Amino acid sequence: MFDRRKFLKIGAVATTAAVAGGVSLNAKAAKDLPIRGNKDFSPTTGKERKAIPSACWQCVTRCSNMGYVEDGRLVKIEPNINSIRTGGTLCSKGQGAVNHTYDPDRILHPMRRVGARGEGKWKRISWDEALTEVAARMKKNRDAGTPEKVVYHYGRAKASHSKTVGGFFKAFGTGSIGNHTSICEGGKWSAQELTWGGHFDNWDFDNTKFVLNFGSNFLETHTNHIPVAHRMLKAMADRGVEMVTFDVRLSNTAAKSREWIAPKVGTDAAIILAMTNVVMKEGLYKGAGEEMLKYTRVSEDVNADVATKIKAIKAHVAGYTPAWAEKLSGVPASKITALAREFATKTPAVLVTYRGVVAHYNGNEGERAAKLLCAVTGQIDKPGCRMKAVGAGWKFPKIKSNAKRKLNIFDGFPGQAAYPTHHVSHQVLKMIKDGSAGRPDMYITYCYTPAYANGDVQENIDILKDEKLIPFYVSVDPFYGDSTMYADLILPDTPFTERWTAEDMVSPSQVAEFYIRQPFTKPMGEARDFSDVVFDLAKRLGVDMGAAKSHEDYVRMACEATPGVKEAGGFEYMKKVGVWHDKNAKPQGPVYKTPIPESVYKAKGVVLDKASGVYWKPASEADAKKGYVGTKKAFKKYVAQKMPHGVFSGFAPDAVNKSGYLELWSPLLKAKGFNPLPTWMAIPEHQKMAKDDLHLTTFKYATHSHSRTMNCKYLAEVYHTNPAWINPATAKERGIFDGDNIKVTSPTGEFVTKAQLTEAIMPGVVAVSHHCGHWAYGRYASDRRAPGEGSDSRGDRDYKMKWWDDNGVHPNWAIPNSADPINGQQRWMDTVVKVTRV
Amino acid sequence: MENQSNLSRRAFLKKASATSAGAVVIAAAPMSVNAAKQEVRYAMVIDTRRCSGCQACSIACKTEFEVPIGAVRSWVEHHEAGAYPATERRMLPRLCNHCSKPPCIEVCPKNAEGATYKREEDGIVVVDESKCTGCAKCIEACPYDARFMNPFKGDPVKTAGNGSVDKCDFCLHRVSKGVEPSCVNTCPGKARIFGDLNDPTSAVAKLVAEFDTTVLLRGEKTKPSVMYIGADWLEAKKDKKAAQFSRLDSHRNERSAHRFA
Amino acid sequence: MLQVVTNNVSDGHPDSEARTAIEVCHLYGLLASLFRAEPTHELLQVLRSPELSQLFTEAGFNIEEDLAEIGDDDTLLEKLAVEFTALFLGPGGHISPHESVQADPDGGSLWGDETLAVKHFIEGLDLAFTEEYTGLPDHISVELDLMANLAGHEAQGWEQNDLTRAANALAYQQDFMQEHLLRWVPLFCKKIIETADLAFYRGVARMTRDFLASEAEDIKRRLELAGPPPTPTS
Repeated sequence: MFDRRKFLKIGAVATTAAVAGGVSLNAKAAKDLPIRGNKDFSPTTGKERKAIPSACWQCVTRCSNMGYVEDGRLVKIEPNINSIRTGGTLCSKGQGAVNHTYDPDRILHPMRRVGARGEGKWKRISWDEALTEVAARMKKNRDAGTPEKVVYHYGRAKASHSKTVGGFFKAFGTGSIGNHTSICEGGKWSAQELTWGGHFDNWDFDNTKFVLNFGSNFLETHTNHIPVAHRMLKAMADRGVEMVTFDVRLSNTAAKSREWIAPKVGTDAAIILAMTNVVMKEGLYKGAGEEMLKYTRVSEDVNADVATKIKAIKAHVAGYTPAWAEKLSGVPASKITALAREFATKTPAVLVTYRGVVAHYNGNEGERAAKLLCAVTGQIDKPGCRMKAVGAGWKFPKIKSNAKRKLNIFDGFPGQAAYPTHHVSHQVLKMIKDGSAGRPDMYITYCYTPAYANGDVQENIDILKDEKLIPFYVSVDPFYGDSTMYADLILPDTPFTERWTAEDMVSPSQVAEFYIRQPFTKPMGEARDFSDVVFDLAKRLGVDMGAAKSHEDYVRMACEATPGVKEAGGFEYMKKVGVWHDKNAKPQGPVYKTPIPESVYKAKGVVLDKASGVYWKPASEADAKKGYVGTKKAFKKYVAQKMPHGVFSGFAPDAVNKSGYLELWSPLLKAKGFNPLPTWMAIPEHQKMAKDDLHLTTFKYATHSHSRTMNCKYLAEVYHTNPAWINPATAKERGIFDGDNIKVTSPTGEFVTKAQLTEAIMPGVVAVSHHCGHWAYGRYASDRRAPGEGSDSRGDRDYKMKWWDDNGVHPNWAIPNSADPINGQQRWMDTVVKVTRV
Repeated sequence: MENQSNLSRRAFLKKASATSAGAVVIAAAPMSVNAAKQEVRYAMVIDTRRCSGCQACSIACKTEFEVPIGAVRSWVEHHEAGAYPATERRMLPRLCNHCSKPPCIEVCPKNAEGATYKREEDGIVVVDESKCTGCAKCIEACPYDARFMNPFKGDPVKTAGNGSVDKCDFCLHRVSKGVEPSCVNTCPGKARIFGDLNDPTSAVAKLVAEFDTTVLLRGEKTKPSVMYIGADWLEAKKDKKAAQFSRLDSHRNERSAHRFA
Repeated sequence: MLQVVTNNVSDGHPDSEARTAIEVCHLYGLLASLFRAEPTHELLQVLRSPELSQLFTEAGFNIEEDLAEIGDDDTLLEKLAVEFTALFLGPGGHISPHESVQADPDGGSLWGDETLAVKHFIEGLDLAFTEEYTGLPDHISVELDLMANLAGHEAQGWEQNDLTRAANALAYQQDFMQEHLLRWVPLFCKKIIETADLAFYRGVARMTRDFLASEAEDIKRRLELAGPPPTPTS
């Protein structure tokens, strides 16, 4: 029974309580209520949606986009038609990002764990409380002289996000900063740095006549997906450009190719070397290849002439005959020969290589072999070929680094990888467990899910849960992610639809495009962009972040300082249009041929290093004596390359002490005991396979990124489960029928999934995609309700319409964390498994 | 004003980039341009050579209309055929065909009242959700499986709470304001081309003149307004051996299988 | 079925109606602050003050007892915060305190039609959100704050014997009660009563449910007393 009179009395004394919490509403003007009925000042219909140019973040491609907002709600994301990178198009993932903003499982408040790690018991705390705690812990480590025990590990932080967030941690004093590139394509980048200096390559489909593709599914997913995909589709339809794709599986990219060729897993490098053999034997290097060889190093002698170089290459590849490669790869020698001829003569041609080549034990050598094949056919950094990529060079405000100490846990165990220039991120947790290189006191992940994204999932979870190994784990995440659930403190990040960034991803048009990301809507709830939060933390810790006061401020300053953008109208222009490029700029062509005048290479302090032919500026006499290759970080002092026919800018180094040649004979690799020339390296595990063993490979489907999109309901609806592709012949040997449950077992672990019998995969291989099998990350990804669940949830009308209950499996339970011995790349495609019917 | 009477993307891009970034509006509304009064026939040409099966169109449509989970107005089928290693996969983007003789309208008990009809002015087949009773006869009648029940639409009384029928309407709300349909706007390969087939200068009319196009179920005499380039395989006689190794993947079909299971 | 005692509430004199409206205003404010966030130390002190505690008990809510069960103040605040998080915030399943989610029996979406309707209602009154408020317009605490605000206007009308003004404010209350609060809050409270671990939040939910039911009736009475609300002139 409810007694109104008695209850009202509470109101008579409860005045302080009402005010204590503060109220959410203010009168706009001090006046009386408007007369009733006068409600139509804000019509809801017929209003044009407000368009806001911004940029995507669903994958690392980061396309320009356009968000449409109605009544403060983001309703739609479309392409920005003014972008020269994307040609005004956008993929499914980018559009599906509306689901991120309104993900019913978004975290809207800072949360502190109250139960055991992973138990799912949380307490909301204020930002002030959260940041006080984070700052105190950071300060404690700084005061103790061990700032490196504050470990910051990110999955994606680019351009101004990288500058501000990474800049903050460096300014604080920790060099313990990890990334995730080794599970992406770090190996490809390291191999490029060893050869042509510069990690990124662009495929110039606009001007090419032929595309030879090894292991890239760039029409569905790629580091620069839409910008290259739309160009290739256009080239195919408008100019009849043909593509041949090597892949163990008929990807959609393979399906759009003239030919799909399935080599035995991990043998791409052998095929590429055999193609080089054909080119050398048949004299197809004559002309363009010879010209290119002038700028190429293929032996120890940096003064060798072209004829000597040709001889050296011929000798090196003599054993790599098409017949030899056929034996390894199963691809007919005649096919290898014919394609080598086609690639060498249908010029300009693009040689595409990606994870099908580089995510292997021999990935570094596969990539270097590709560079060799391009060199001998004269198809390097030339229109229509693979070119050095062009990104936007922002003038960012400086944040001074104080990072003098770091934990050596980012490059794998000693001796595991020779030149891991993009680190060995998938070994970080294992190294923390090992402890010999020290352990963090505080582990902060940002846009990163170490438990899910890496191999050996069980071990990752065990380590994250162990408070002895990781005393304090802070996850910065907009969602209740598969790793975030093990955190001690969750800082609710904004999804990218509520962020600022000055963006810089490369443009395949070879003209840089500057673009920004700006919020479509205000951060929901108490979510805050971490790149703003670091400014707050800096204040608490007395860390100098330079002139900017917030990330928006930082972006504004970059817009006002960057030549071109500044003149176009700076920040205001970018907010209105979203993109800018120099309309008078010519596409960047080859840069290595630029002659360097004597005044530069004979300037004071510049010396010639005879062994490498590099003009450089050693910091000291001692360094000069040690020589260019042997001096730490000497590449930063590179000036020019001496070649027999002159002194040139060359293929300047940017990460290792390589010469200014296209360096295919690498003194660096020789020093670490590898063959200095691109060489076939057999994959150890593949040499001792039992008769019924199969290869496990992974792939991505067009509507998803590796781990961050399954909470988007529209994307999940299209692709939510990942049965194992298996050839009917392989299935038959095991008594497996379409739709059967099968068990995939490796020494690392096992998983059970359904078999999808398909002729679109070669026999002997089982392929399972990423994306699926989440154990958290919201209801659309996992159907998982966290503990503490109420009788309903912050839902949406669609969840009850979710018609699938099979959320797929995660193959990483059975994939080990292993590394390419040269560059540390995670070997996604090398796993050997047994497959049985359940 | 330029004599632009089609929604070709090129013209669209030019126009829009001349103005500022945000407003995606074509200067010349397609219906008002031709001086002589001429019936407009909106059509879509799908150049399958340019389609990589990426589903950008599917998601553009989904987000444009907030189509409920479980239903689709526009989708992409992947047709796999052939024995390894001669396996092929072909992409077939799908949507309502906006037939010239739509069988769906014939069977509608409320067609006289305009529950579903073909617009005289431009040929778009539409559903009036306020008049639809949700009897679903049209869903059965459509040979293309282009219609579905939308539980969140329709008059709750007339439909007894079951919702209204829903389908692709060529983004009428955009097209009528001179903006191309959402799926066309986003397509990375520019495989979807939209415009007025009755205007010989339009991109669709030019493509139909230049290429042999295919329609789905030619034999049905539905006369679709959606035409395909590079989809001759649809009409090729089914090779018995090839058929043995074929599978059709699309989330729409997966959903249907689930629904009828 | 809920029984509501509404007799002996008012004598119809503007002064006593003003008093009622002020009490209503403060009650809305109290409930709003209970739903806005986990209780603070200050709020806890107020709730446990002898005066208020007594009144709660008389009204049938044994708040002191509910709270005493749990332990000392620090434990109490901690437990209340954890319960608040589990009930209203997540992560994972929880009872969303937003109208647009609750209005649909199967779970609507955030920023739904109801959110917009509330936003427009508030804007139509020339009210704006404070800068500190970062939540959605249809959060229960906002809706209760809005009612408090309207009841405040009503009280001023009675105090100044400006019955038109009181009627105007009452008509807004009536609209918002019928169009919004009654459509979802009773069910929302039912879910809390079924789910909450701590008696405290079950009590808060009961208070809210019962108070709204009684207000729905009493608004009608006060409106009749104040006369017809003004109509737009243009």
